[in-house]
Amino acid sequence: MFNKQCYFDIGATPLATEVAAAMAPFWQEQFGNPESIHTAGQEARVVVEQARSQVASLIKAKPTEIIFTSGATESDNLALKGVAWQQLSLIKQCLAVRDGKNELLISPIEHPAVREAAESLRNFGFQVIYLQVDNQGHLDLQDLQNKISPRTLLVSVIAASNQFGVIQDLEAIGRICTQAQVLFHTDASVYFGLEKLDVQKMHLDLATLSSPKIYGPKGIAALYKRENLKLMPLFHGGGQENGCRSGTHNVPAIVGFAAAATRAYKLAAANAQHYRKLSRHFINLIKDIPAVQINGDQADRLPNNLHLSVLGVEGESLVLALNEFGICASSGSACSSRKLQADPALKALHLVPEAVHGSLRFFWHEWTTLADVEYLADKLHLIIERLRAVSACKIS
Amino acid sequence: MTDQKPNQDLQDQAFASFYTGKVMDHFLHPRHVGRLEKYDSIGEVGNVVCGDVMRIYLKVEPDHKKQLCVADISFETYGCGAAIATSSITCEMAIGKTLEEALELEKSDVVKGLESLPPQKIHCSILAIDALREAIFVYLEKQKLPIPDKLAQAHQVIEKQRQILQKQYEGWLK
Repeated sequence: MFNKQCYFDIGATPLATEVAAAMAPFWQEQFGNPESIHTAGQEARVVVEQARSQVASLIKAKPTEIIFTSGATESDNLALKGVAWQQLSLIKQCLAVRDGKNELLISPIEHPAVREAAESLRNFGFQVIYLQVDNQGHLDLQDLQNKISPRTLLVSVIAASNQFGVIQDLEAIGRICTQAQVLFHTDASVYFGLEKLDVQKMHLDLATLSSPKIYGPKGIAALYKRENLKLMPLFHGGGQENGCRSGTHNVPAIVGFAAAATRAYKLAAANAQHYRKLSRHFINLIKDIPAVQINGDQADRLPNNLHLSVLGVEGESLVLALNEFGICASSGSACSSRKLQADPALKALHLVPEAVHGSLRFFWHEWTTLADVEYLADKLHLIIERLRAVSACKIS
Repeated sequence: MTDQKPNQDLQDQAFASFYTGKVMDHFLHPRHVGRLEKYDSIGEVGNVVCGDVMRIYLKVEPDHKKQLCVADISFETYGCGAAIATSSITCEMAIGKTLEEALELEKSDVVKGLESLPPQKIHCSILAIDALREAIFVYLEKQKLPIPDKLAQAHQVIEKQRQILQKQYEGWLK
């Protein structure tokens, strides 16, 4: 019971029509398990491998370098823990040069799936060192250079922020990592499909690719893993995905994921133009509201993301009030989260507490019209005025 | 926030909602909002560093039995939906009560009044009661009237918390 035209969130997206069509045969008719040697299985295997090739070619990777997973969280966890535990297992076996590589360098604006996976590895003796971003959201490359040491195992930097949309200079980061012989992972969950990801140019060893953000099915994602890189799997079992991720293939979802990704690439340029038009229009409509700031670099960014801070008003109350008008958005404030903790990515952006707790995030969609952003802007004016009247923090 | 009440039919259909209808009602149509034109004391708790600030304005007058009562009350709150709702209902419950009765209000009364709150939002009900008690404390102190021990202790705790939060706020900006 909400209006799709007012859905400005990225938490999930509906299946694109052609994606649903691509998936259809695999629920009830072609339902084989790709691991089976009979015809049913082999037919399923063919479509899984086709999907694998499609996704691989989009990011200039080899098909063998794509591991299908159950979601971006699993991909992120596999990337971090896979590398770290592999390192641990080698130490236990006392193999080769155990150079004490126990440092993980993580950007301060990661999704919890990377941040928490990294933090959990402290239990195994790994150090988690946080990098820095400037107040536009760009990774401080000098700081990265300074922090890389012979003990660094992996650098993980989110390709585009899921909060405020800023895109990182992955090529530059990749060059630094290659030179230092350090593994480079990026969480490209909201980046892949909208922007070009070239694993060769960007010197990537690992990359998380997501389906549900690009009008593909939920419960499926991929991890790009450079060939010859050994990972300790998260899931052991039947040895699927070249031993990297055991478990029955979710064939319809895999097919849907590849269809969504291919479709996204085709539409990326046109969509970007559309999104930029929407953002320009929206920014113009709200520029008269006092004490509202737009966060993150306005140039190097996802065109479909817009992140605001409304001073004097708290984020969850904004989201709740917007919902009454059928508008779906989200906030990074403490009170918007289950654990009552503000999103650390916002603090890393050097935002003051008022700006963090007053944060509001919008993602445009392919179906979003100028009229829709006008409706949003109109209701925002109303809501901000009324919540500021109630607020204990009056803006000067 | 809107001009009409949330669709009652939707509420009746076990509509998927984070907050109860009562909470939404107090959030969308808060009572006793703003700063009283004439007030005797202000009680404030919270800090923008944690995203919660509640301020209660109190007007105290004796009733026909010469007991001091909450003659008028209002609030200003920076916070989530639950924070605004708990502030609103706390003011609604406190108005007209003697100061003694108002001091007996507990967070459980607030939660009951709103039917229920999600577990992570219960702390909002505590804050609202704290703000009310602070306002009463400040009034009694100003008027040089006797302050119940429990209230004095509660004030000490709030004062300590205020200092901790202020340090956090200053630390954040570094």
